[in-house]
Amino acid sequence: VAPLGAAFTLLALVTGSLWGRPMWGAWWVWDARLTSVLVLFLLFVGYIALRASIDDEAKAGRAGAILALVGLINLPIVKFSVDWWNTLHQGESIFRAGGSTLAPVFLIPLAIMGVGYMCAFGALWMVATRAEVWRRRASSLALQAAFS
Amino acid sequence: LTQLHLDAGKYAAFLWPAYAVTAAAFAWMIAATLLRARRWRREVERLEAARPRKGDGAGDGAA
Repeated sequence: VAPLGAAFTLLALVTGSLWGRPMWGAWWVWDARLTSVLVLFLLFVGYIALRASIDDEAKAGRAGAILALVGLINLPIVKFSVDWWNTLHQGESIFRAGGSTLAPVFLIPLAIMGVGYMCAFGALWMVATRAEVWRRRASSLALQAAFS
Repeated sequence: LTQLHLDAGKYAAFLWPAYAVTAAAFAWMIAATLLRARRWRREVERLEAARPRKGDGAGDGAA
């Protein structure tokens, strides 16, 4: 599932950069929101590399789980970065006290796309989980065949 | 029908690459995920077909 997370995060960074250039006049700025999302992407890459670098599946799983738990700290930082620091990125504009500051003409398409992205991720996640079950089943069958 | 306005004007140079990158990323994610699932499903089917069945007299522990 980590490659999916990495791909979605990279997509956010690249398309955000394409949006930032005409809006902010810069492809990239080291502000808190952008930097914390970049850290999230690097955590995904690090997780993938860590899992791949350890042969023992149980040890790789344990090491990956520890890194994932450490990485969890980054999630509230991503969410609240625009409140905690003075950033070029606009402040909270959707889930905020007093209601969204977005006009419906923007908010409705954004909500539809948000739900669409979540459905797409959910569907891919389920297929990836199923593939992992098949892989473990194949590994188990191969071991049985080797010892029978 | 509402007419589609595809002319993004001065933003076209940023808008269309964003769509292109998104389409490419989704194509990769969908293809990679489905191909991986198919590969392991077929591997399981192959291994299960090759596995000795009970009653064959081999690998079932029958003496």
